[in-house]
Amino acid sequence: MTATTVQNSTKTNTITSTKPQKNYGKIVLTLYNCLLPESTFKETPSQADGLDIETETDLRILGCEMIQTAGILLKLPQVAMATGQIYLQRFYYSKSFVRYPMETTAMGSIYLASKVEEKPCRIRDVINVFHHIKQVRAQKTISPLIVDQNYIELKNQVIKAERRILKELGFCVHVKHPHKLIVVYLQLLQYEKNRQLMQMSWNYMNDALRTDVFMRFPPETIACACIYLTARKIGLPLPNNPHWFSLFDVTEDDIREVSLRILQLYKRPKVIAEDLELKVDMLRKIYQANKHIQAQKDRENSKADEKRAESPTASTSKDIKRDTRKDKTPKTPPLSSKYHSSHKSKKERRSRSPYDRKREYSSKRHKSRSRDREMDRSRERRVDDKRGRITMRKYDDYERSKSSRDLRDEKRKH
Amino acid sequence: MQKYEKLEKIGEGTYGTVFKAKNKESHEIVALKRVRLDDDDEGVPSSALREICLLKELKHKNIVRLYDVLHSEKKLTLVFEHCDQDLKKYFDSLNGEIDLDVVKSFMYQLLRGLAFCHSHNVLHRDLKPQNLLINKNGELKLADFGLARAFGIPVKCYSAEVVTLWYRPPDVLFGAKLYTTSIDMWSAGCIFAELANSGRPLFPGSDVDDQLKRIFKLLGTPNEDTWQGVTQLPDYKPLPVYQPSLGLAQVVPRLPARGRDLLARLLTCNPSLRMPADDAMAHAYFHDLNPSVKNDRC
Repeated sequence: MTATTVQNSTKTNTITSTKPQKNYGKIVLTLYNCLLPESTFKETPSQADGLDIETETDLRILGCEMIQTAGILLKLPQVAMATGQIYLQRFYYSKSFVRYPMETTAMGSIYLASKVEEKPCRIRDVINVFHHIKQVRAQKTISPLIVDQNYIELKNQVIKAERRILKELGFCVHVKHPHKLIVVYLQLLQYEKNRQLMQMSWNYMNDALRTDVFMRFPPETIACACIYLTARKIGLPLPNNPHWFSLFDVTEDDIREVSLRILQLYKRPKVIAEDLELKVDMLRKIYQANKHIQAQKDRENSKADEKRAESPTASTSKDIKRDTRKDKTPKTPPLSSKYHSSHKSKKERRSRSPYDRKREYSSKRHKSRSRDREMDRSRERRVDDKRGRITMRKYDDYERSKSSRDLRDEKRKH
Repeated sequence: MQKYEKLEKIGEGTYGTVFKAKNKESHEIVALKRVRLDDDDEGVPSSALREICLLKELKHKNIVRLYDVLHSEKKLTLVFEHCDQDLKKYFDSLNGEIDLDVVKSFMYQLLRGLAFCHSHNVLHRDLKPQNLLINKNGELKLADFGLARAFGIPVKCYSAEVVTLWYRPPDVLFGAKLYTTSIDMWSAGCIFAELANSGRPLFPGSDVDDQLKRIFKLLGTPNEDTWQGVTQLPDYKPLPVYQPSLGLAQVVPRLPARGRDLLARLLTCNPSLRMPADDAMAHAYFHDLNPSVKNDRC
C-alpha cells in the first residue's frame, strides 16, 4: 500500500524548497506550466538505470507510435492521442523504462487520455488494439486475444499504470495542445484557406509529439515552428517585416531550435522493437538482481541489528527496508512523516520492543517470501525469453518459406 | 489516512461516500470523499478525475478547496474543506421566507465563484442547490466538479447529457453540443429565482419536453427571429407557440425590479445573449450589496 499526497503546484514548490526529500510533486506541471528544466533531460531515470540515450529515445518514439496507431484504431479524436503521447513522455522523465515497461504505460496513457478528452474507451478495447498492433508489427497472422489469466493480469497492470501516471503527473492531466493554435495563427495570417499549409503544419505537429519539444517549449513556439517548417518546405514566403511570429511573441531562435529537433526525428533509422525489448529486458534483469542482492544484504543487516538489540545506529539500506514495509503494513503514515522519518522516530520505533520484535520477524518472513516470488518470476522470465527466441526463429523460417525476404530486399532496393 | 479521524457520514457523492473528519494534528474539520477503485474495473472514474484536475487549479473563496489527494491500493480519498450544509438543506431549514439580503449575498457569491471558474476556462456544468455549499459565516462555495471540464479555444463538441434537467438551458435541451460559459449562467438564473422563492424550484420539469414547455410558457417560444439558428439544433422540435408572459413579477414576487431585470438577462433562451458572470456581478441589483460581501477578496 502506498500513500501519496498530491499537492497543488504552489504547495509543492514550498515543500521542495524546504525539504529536498522524496516528493511526488517534484515535477510541477499545471495547465499552464508543462515545461521541464534542462537538467531533467540530461539525467533521466532510465539513464540512471543504465539505459543509453539512443535506446531511450527510440523507446519514446515507439511508445508514441503505438499510442497514435492505437488511437486511430480506437477511433479516438487526435487530441486524445496527442494527450496520451505527452503523458508517456512526461512519465518517463520521472520514472525509468527499466522499471516500468513501456507498453503498459502506453496503454495506461491512451486510456487515461481518452477519459480526459471526454471520449472514454474501454480497457478491454485498448488491450485488444495493442495486441493487434503487435501482431501486425511482427507480421504474425492476426488472431484475437484470449481472455485468460494473462488477460486479467494485463488489465490490472493497465489500471495500475493509469494510477501511476496520475501520481507521477500530480493529476495535472490537462494539456494545452498547439493544434488549435495553428488554426488560429493561420487565420490571423489569413492563410486559413491554404489547405496544404494547414495540413502539413498539423502533420509536423503530430510528429513532434515523438520528440521532447513539448516538454521544452510552450505550445505557441511549437505551433510557429510547425508553420515555419511547412512554409519552407512548400516555398511559401511569410511576412518578414516585421517577422510574422513576432505577432505571437515567439523568437526565431526558439523556432529554429524546435524545428531542428523535429527534423532530427526524420533522420533516425526505423525503430526495431525487438532490439529495444532485448536491451530493456537485460537491464531489467540487472536491476532486479541488484534489488535482490540488496534485499539480501538488508536481511543480513536486520539480523545483525536484532543481535545488537536496540542499537541506535541506522541501518545502511533503509530505503529497501522502507519499501518492504510499504508492502506489508496496511496503513502508512502520510507522506511527510513517512518519508521524512528522522533518527529519533526510528529509535522510538525500536524501543517498543515486544511488538517490535514481532513485526521485525514478520517483515523478515515477508522479505524472504518476496524473494522467492522474485526468483520464481525471474525463472519464468527466462523461460519466456527462450520461448521468445524460439518463436522469433520460427518467424524467420516462416518468412523464408514464403520467400518474403526477397520481397523485402526488393523493397529495400527501391 | 491515519491523519484523519472519521466523525460521521455526510452523504453520497456522484462517485463515493463523503465523510466528515478531523485532522488529528491540526484539529481542523474536513470532508473526505472516498472514491472506491476495487469494484470499478475501469480505473479511476472520469468524474473523480475531472474534479481533482480542475479543483487543484481553482483556488477561490467561493469554490470549495481541495486540500489533498491520498491514494492507496484500494481507494482514492479527496480531502475537501468542510462546509456545514448545502443550499438545499439550507432551504429546508428555513422557517418562513428567506431574507432578501441573504438572496443578494448568495447570488453575488455564486456569480463571483462562476466568474472565477470561467476566467480559468472551466465550465461547472452541474450547478444546482445541492452543489452549492453554505458555511456558518454565510459563505457560499461551488462544489462537486464531477461534471466540470476545461474548455479551450475554439470550443468543440461536448456531451449534451449535462446539468440536472431543472437547471438545463433550452439550447442544451435542444441538443446543442457547442456551448460555453452560458450553460452555467442559465443554471445560475434558475437558482436565483429559487433563492428568491425560498427554495421553490423555478422549472421543475418531469422530462425534456415538459421542461421546454415550462420554460417557454414563461419566456415565450423562441423562433429564428429571436434566436438565430434555433431550428438547426440537433434535437429541435416545434413546440406550441407561447407568447412571452412577462410575468416575472408574478413568478418572483419578492424580488425588486432590479433583481427581476438581472433574472431576465440570465434566463435568456438565446445563449449568445445570455449575460456572462462578470457582467452580472456589475449589475445594478448589486449596487447596494453589503460591502463586507463585495469587498471580500480571496
